[in-house]
Amino acid sequence: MTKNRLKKFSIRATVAFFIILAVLTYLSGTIDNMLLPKVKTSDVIVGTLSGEANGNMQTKYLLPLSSVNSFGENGSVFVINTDESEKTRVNEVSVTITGEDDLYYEVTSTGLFSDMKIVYKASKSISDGDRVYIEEDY
Amino acid sequence: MKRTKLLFKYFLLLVITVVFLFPVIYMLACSFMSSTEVQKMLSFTDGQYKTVNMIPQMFSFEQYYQVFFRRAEYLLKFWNAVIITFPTVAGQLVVSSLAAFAFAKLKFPLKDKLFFIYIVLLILPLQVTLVPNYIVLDNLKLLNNFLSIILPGTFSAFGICLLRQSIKYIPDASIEAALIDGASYFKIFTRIILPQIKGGLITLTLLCFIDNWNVVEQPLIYFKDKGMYPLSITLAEIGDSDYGIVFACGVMFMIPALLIYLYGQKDIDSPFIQTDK
Repeated sequence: MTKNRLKKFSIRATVAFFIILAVLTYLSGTIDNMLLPKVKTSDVIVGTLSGEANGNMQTKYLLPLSSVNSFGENGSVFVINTDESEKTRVNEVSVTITGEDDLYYEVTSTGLFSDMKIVYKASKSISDGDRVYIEEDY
Repeated sequence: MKRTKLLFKYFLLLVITVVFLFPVIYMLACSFMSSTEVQKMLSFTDGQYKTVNMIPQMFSFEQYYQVFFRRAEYLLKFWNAVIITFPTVAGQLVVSSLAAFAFAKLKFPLKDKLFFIYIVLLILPLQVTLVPNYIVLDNLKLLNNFLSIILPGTFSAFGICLLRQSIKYIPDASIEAALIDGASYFKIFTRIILPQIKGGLITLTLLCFIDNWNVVEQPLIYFKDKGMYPLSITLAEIGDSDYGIVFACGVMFMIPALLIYLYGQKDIDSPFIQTDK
């Protein structure tokens, strides 16, 4: 490559490189959100399927059917958490299924609290610790 | 005999080239590996690396995908490096060329003594000036500000010494002729001096760019906010789980330096060839 062609190439490549990086940086938030699994969340409801007061000390929760990955009497749900850098992540919490109807599972868990949000629908498969984008929040 | 000598020379050059290029090739190779492969390769067993693979088992853009699309923090650190480097290079070019012109061609009292002080500053290691600079910058309320690196970099003695050598060899007669024709010193500087020290300016740009692009000590001392750190520091702080990202970031960080070198590689030695008569 002659001297001038090399210079022209390096100038063009430098400009292109910086423009691409500038665009990627400017749109980084949007791109990142676009690529995250989109989830729909709902509140954890404290209560029982029968509507009666809970007899024992353990709190019972009502969770939408689609939110629980059940295997027999046990199952797991994904709860929403925010990490130190203010990014939304999901954490898997184990639950014990004590009953179910057409809409809800009645569960008990030591890792579940009434102020938590649970994932009931995700656009992609998610696993413990994954970052997610909350699309809908009920 | 002559042929053997030549072959030996080429062999030696080849070995030296491989030694110098090895880190770059290794970085490129690792940047195209998956994070699992890099982690497996770099995990320590009895204080030794398990393997050093130069060819990825599975070609993957995962690290680049992470750096460019998923981990914006590395892009922001890249721009921090740009914010530090570009104004410093531009500032140093302006200040150094003007000062070098004055030291080389103008007559003023204590010129040689002042230049001697500059030479002493050049000899001092960076670490010696860090604390005095810190105190000065603290008094100027410039700590935790990009200017705390840009300003000392702009007035660095190195550029002045380099360009003074280039300007010194421009014949005085050409300046005197311009003065007789009524040209001002600024016109002489822009029309006669600058075109003749183009090689020196490109050399200075390259050296100053590399120096500031790889800056480590100053941000660590002058910046409290870690968000202002350039990528050169962040690369050292990336955790074990993100080893693969280090290589992709390294490639991204290397590209501007490489392109600037490509631009100026033919001129980098010309200031000395053209003027050392």
